[in-house]
Amino acid sequence: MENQETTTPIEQSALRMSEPSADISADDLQVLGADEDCRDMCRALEDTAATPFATIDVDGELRYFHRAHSSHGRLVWGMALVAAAAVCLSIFLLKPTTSVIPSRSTKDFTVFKAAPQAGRSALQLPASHESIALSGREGRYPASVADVADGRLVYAPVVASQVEAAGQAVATHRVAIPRGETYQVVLSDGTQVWLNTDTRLTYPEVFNGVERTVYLEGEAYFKVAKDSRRPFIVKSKAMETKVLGTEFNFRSYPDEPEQVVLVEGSVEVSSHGSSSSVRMKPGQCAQADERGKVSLRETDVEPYTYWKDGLFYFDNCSLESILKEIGRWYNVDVELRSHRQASINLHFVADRHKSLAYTIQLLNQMEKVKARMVGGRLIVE
Amino acid sequence: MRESRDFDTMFKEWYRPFFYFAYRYVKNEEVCRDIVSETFEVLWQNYDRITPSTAKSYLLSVLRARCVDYLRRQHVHDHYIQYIAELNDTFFEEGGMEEADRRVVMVRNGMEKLTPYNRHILEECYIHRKKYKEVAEDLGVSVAAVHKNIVKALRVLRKELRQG
Repeated sequence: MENQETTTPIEQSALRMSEPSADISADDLQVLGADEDCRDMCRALEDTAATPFATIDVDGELRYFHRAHSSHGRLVWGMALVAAAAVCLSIFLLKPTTSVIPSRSTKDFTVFKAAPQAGRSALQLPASHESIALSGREGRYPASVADVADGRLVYAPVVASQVEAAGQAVATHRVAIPRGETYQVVLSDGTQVWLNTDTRLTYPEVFNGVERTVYLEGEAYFKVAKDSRRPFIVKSKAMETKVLGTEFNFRSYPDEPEQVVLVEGSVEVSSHGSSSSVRMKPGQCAQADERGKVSLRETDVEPYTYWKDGLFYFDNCSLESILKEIGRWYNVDVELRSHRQASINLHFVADRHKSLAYTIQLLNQMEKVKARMVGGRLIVE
Repeated sequence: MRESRDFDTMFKEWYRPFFYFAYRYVKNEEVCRDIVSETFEVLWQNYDRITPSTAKSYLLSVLRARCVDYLRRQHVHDHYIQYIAELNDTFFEEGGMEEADRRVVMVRNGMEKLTPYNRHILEECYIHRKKYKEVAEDLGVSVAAVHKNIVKALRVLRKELRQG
């Protein structure tokens, strides 16, 4: 029986070895190897570290895994954008959350598959697996959050030098936006980010390093606060953009090539596959193909940013891409019953905040397609 | 032929224990998720070639190799790697992975039984990765006091683990 007052030698060893960032000596290892009790104690303490992960959503991880490995059984990654100045980057990412399943016959094929509802927009703290619904001022938010109101999450502004001096551990935050919603975040450096539907942005609550790095899954419009000493880096599955202070739209969804559209400033885009990077100018769109090769082309930038203003805006776009976007926003399965029609181009502008029924009506008014809801799915022929 | 159903079963059964295994080495959630995901990818790509009876230990070896690789690239001292490897060798035993899953649940239960103060110290050290001295300073107590608290907590946890 252990004496309640004194710590046994074995307990002392376990205490010493299991301290975070401990210097473990060869003697320590000998004790560990020889004594089962010691190993057991160390394991118990190490298991304490793992307790927040006892609630990992394994089913969710499995779904994510299959999405990443569905097409060609190969992991298809997106592009990384490096924006140097005000860049409006629209990055389309080949992300397998919604796969296009072309039918083998000449009959219908599914353009878009709805996802199980993810709930409200939320601020997540990955390390402790907490998820806080962004429902207004009443929520209990971390201290680094200055304000939450009306679709806007604002972090307290932090001066870079303050952060470096403090040298504190900084938490990683993630904002998760479900289908049918958009949200705006103002980061601690003043960077404004508009998040589109079905998007997750992961970032440190305070930028305290030599770079400001965020991770994007989905679509976001960035207005990066100027900071010449610290480039702002947006990483997606396949691409990376480096920016110093710029405006751009970065689009990285699972079922399409990643795209970055630059509005203002300059940006360096590189894809994870290659070591080279491409410098973009305003009015250009960078797109990564399946093999990660980035190509540039001139484009009008406005169409890529209207989502931010609550609009569907398609200027001479294929019916397939229009339907995919509608499916994603309203979170409905979309089935296109004619291959031939998939590639017809349409000009379509609509208010995202109108109901699906209304949007379908508008689509039909163009008299090029017949769209209707059947059993909760959008059938187009 | 890829049996998605069977792969899914293995994934659901092994994901958390793999994660715990990796987390002992790499105290970074995102990196662990990546490494565990890569390990399942190995299973996915080689599904036809891996026999079910050896799959578990094979994948644990892959997982371990990746964790060690990661730590080496971070220039972590070899002794630390050996320390964790020693603690993790139970995973390779019969029933080791299931045991790991149960253990974490029991440790959680044990933590519920601690006083709030005690639990706080334990969490500061092992979940928030603070050194004993740091925690002592934060609380305005001596390092010896922190040690005593951890030993107290450890005894409660071990009691819980023995009962389970």
